[in-house]
Amino acid sequence: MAFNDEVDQIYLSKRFVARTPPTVQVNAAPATIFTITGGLVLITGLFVYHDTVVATALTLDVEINGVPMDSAASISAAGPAGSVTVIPLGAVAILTPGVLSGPVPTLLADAGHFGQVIAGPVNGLITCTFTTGPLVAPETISWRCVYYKIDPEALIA
Amino acid sequence: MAFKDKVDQIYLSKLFVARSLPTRYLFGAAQTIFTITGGLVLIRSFLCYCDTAIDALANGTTIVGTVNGVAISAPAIATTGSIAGDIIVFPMGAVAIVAMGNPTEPMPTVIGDTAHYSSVIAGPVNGLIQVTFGVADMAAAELCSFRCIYEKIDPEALIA
Repeated sequence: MAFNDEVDQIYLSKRFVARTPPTVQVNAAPATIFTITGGLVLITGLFVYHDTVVATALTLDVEINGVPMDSAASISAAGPAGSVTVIPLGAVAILTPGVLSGPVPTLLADAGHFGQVIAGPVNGLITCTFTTGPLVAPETISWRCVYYKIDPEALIA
Repeated sequence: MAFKDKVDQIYLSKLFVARSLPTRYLFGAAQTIFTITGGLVLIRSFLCYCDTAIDALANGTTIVGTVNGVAISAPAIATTGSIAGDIIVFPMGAVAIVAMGNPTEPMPTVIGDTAHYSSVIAGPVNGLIQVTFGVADMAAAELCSFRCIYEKIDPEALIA
């Protein structure tokens, strides 16, 4: 195999991270955070980061391809700037809202044998609904999605 | 994507290790071992390496670790006596340190894994990875050093 081809293969096997810019997210209906295109992905982490203090108590409901990534109406994501909320990637409660350092996977996720999901581009939507809230400017959050490409053209953006 | 950009992206996705110099630690105030800057990191492990034998650890010395003020071990864990080469693995959650005083240790620790702790995500606000020794000082010639194994979630993230 040519050197460039080997580097291409290593590149495709590495861990990728999709990011959103800090946003005053106010959605009461599902809002698309990321979209999966091109093939299958293995998602190993999905995080909400508080770019500012978020005083507003929030209830998040996150889905990937319509499948719940947390239990509904279970999360208060208020917290200081720098807080991280870890999405459990399974239908269990989020245990780590509003903390500056949290376990990955979450304790309940690991106990429930959740921690990573495989998903494809049909539907392809990673969505979030705030059922309470929303954020009030200048409160902003941003998202990170950590994943591996299972298919070469797979992308989360 | 340009060849160099691909190599840069591969570099950023690898495991990184922060290391501290062998140091004698005194008991009392929290000691900042590392600082997180630049963005989010996923810390896969944090451990203490005994560069020398540490008799103080046999004398009731306790050790507590925190990341951004959040405990990564239970408070007031009594350490055991150590010989040079022994490793103390932090459980990454507020449970007892059980992996200590041996030159080979399970990682994550058994109690950490049982309690569903393995990694933590953390950002640069506060940004301090600290350890507090209690009860007894390490003797003058005794040294230990720390390792922090982590992934960069954001490109500019760094633990140093």
